[in-house]
Amino acid sequence: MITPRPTKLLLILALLTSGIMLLPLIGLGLGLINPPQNPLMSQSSLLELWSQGDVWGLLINTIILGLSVAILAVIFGTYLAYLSMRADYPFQRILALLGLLPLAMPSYILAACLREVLSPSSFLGLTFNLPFFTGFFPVLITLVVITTPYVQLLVSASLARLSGTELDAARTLGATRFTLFWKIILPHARPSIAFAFLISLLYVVSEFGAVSVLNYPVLTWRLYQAVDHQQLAQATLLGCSLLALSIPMVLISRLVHGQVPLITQIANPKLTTRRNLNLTERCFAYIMHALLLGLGVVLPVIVLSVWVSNGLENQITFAPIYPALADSLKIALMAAVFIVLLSVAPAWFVARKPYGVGRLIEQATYLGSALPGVLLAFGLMLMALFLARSLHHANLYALLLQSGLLLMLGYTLCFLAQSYASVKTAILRLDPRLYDSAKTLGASQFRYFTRIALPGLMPGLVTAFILVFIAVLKELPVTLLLAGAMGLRPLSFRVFDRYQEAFLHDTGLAGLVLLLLSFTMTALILRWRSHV
Amino acid sequence: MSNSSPLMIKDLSCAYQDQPILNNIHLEVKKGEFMAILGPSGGGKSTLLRLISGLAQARAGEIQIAGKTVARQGLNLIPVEKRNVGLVFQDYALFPFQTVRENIGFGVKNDPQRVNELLQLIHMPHLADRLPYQLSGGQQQRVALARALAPRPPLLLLDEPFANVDTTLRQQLITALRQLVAHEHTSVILVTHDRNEAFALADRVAILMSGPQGSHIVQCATPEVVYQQPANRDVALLAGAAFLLPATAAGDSAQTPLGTVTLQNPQVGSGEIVVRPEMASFIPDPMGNATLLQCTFQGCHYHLLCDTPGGQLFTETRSKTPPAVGTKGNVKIIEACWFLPT
Repeated sequence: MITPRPTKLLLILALLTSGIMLLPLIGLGLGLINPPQNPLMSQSSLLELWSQGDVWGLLINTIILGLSVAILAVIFGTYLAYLSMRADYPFQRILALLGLLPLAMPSYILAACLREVLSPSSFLGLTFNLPFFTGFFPVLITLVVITTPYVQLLVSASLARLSGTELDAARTLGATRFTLFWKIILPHARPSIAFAFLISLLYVVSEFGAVSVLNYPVLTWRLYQAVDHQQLAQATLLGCSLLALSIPMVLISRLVHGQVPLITQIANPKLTTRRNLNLTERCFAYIMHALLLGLGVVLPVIVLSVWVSNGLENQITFAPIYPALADSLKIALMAAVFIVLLSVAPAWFVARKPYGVGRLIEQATYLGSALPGVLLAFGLMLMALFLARSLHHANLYALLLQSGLLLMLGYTLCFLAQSYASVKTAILRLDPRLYDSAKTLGASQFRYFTRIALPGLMPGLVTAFILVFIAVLKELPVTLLLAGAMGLRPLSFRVFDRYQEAFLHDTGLAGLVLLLLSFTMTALILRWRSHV
Repeated sequence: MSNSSPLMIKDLSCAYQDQPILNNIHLEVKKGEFMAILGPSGGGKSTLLRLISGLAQARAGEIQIAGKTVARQGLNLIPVEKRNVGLVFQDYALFPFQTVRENIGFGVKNDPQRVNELLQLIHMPHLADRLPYQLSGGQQQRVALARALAPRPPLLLLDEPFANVDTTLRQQLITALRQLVAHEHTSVILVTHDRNEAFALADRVAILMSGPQGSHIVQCATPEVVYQQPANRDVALLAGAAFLLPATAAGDSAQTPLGTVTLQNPQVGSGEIVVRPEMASFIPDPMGNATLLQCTFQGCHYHLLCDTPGGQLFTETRSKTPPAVGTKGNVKIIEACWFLPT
């Protein structure tokens, strides 16, 4: 076969793209060697900063929160995955689908709504004499609701690969329901459960929205506060601590992820018969669905609507929503196009050369998605600062910020992996024999790409575009740190900012518009995927 | 008929969403018997095995295993996990996370001795700690067989177990299967669409044919009887290469376009006779009414495709120098034929 080989130009483009991932790490490294100081503040050593900032306490808080959320999300998500793949009860399919809706819910909106409903002055607060709804448990509830659908998706995918004949074979050998679950189903799902656990853990370590709204002291929230207050040396220390915590988890998760296909490829996927649930099991399943859907979707929509309605009733003037909406759409559109285009080169290269340099490029591409957005944004800021300082160009930092380059790079760091995965899958689906056929028919490389490859890649490119678009719409820390300098105030910014200032009517309106956009785009992608 | 047969099926019918699959199945498997169910693909053979094992539910009829009624009138009286029926799947369905030893021991939790015995029987004690993906296809199949036999089931069901293996390995596996089953004194039902497999293994062959009301068994007999005395033209064609020649029977002979033929089953009236290649011979004759169209080498003999007044049919010759294509001659039926009345 004369399958297309990656050219040197493709290699260079792929290396440059994945090299972007190293920028914030270099920035942090330089920051650690030569801590940036605020001239208005007294200079302290790193050791002093470590004790002043209670970094140990923040690390412990982050780890405890991560482990607690990951354990609960794995329990609930695995149970829901089992229900969606193996159980049969009325409305099972629609409930399984609706259960994924919290994926489209930004954590800061959910946290704000939960805080409102359970505040001491709310109906529930007055009835049950509730304390202020902040701290560990509220964050725990919020993040479990958000991460459970991720676990459900991952474990469902592995249960879908479970061979029906394996289960039948076990039943003919006398296996009870418990033995079936323990010895056949669970071992199948184990690698996915382990991966889902690590992904949930990483998500929580990177989490910014809920912890900031509910004011729970973890590394990301303190890092943002330090940057916001220009305590750059303190922020560098916190950033490096966050990085030291994240990197081992990223490495372990990549290791575990590598094991998933190795074991599941043996099974011969066949449709399995679903088990009818008895009345008690059904009640439990419905309660579970109702809790997740209620907390994750219904409650936030109601609370946001009540805020808007209260604003209208009290004739409070709303801040105009159109500029925020326009900023959101502008940023999301620009970032989606930018990132999808950037992802083509590494995806094409790795699809054609998956080992050696290809493996390195892939690992680098995935790195950003696993690291906290606030850390990446801060790393980029540091990098720009050092660049400006080394070039003796006082305005370079401001120029980079205002030009939007840093913002686009920040989004790229966070979401390149999403786009890369979709595009690479589409490239891998291109039959190499098509290239052979085109070549034997005298087609040039360009003609092959435009007439054969591109139409085949379109579904992957569109999927990547929509995925990045949704992610950028909801994104908070990068937007907070890097969009402000451009004078942009997108919806996510508006929600966070107005909530901090207790303008609940504005928060409600911006939140509802954001949710409407997010849910619409999610529905669009589900529909698009079912068509392709 | 004895009630303690390993398997007795009476009037069994099954449908899927109003689409009839099996209709009025009657079947009895005797102790130690190897029964093959032969039929075209999609004819409900695997469904029959699922009904027997309890993995599916019948619409009507009764199933008895070792004298116990396990299903009656659309109800599974004994669930699959309590029926003690061994089932070997086409894809083996080995548990990928369990070793060979764990797979075999799955149905006999507290009997390591039995597991060791079976490991010896399948000549794999040295591979006991391997995982399924570390085994070859043939080894996987032997493990699947041993696993199904471990709980000493009175009945072993084999769902096209040789479908995924090549011809050479198939011969080895058939030999291994025969030895294993003989050692265990288990009755076996093998489901297959391959007549050679069925004839090589089975004591009796049940032919399952599709019909508008669902598939039903049209003949159940020894392989020899099925081959030589098929119940109808479909069975005749399923059981091997055959040419159905129009004929008018008059007692123990029949008139055909190829002349008078002796009948195995004396009849009167019009119908067809079943002519297998080995039952006819091509005799070169420049004045003959047949022409040799094709000659293909089969190893121990040649297949000759001849154009005759009755149509095109295959004959065989064991001559080392077969006639050339285009040779004129006569086709003569040299054995008594089976008559199928129309």
